[in-house]
Amino acid sequence: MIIDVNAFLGHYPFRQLRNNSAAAFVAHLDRNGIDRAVVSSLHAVFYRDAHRGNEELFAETRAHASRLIPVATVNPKYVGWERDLAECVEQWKMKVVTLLPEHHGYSLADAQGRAALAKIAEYGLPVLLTQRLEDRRQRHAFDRAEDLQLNAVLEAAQAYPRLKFMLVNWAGLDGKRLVDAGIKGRCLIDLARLQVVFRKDVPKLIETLGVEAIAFGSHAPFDYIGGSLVKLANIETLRPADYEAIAWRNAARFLDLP
Amino acid sequence: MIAVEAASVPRPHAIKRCVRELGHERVLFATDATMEGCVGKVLSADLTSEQREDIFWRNFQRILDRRTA
Repeated sequence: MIIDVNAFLGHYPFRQLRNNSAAAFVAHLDRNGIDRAVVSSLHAVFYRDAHRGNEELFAETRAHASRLIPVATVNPKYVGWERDLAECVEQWKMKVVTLLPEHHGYSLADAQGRAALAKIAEYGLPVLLTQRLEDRRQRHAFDRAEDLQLNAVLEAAQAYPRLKFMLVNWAGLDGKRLVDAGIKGRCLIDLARLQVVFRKDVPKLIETLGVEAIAFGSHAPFDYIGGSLVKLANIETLRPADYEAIAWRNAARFLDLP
Repeated sequence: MIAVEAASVPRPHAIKRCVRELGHERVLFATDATMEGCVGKVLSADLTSEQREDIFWRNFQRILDRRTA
């Protein structure tokens, strides 16, 4: 069993993506031997009203509920976001909420960011923070979102000591700084942009945060799934139980999946 | 002989395109120090296992063999 915790559905305005509808993505998961995926809406990133993207995502994933786990997107700068989040969580039972401060024009430390983090913490759900959507090389001139900075995450972790963090598509994570910020035991980090073989990012994070902090993720459909599968297969000295933990058990536990 | 190497080709479907346009015997494997990504890229490309084996090692082995012959 493998659960991919870093995936998207929908169109990206600056690059053609493949396998980005629910049906096509499920077929793509099948071709790659992936059982389930945590999917966010790209439309919710770029629509003026993010919640329209949530509605689409909910409608599209309903027919694939055993395979696709939808993520609620919140833009705390848009009027009525609390009501929209309530619909995602209370009616549609979404299990994780993503914030995109670099795309929606706020910071995790300002009034909007703090309000959103506090509300997510109140629901007891994890916040999913993607460091970047697109490779910075050869980006479209209008594609200007900066990478989310680790300092902002560490400050949020200290300000909200019960909030759980899913950090996906991150590179350059320093395990010691994460531990010092008190995030150990309440974070899940995917391996999509981490190296296993040369730079040993994943073994180092396991050393500092424990194997329970690592999960399989691909960043599909931006990236191909094969790279992450190779990483999973190459995590050295991994006991079978640890392999299972990274492949799916950590994600299932963290998101309280049935 | 002109060959392309897999690290400089951004995605699996682009590798497939190289194979279609140039022939799989002209595609060489390389990592540019991102081992998993480049192995995964070749594994994710829509190729036969024979084509993958050629790209992973046989094509370059043939070049070496020609030089030592």
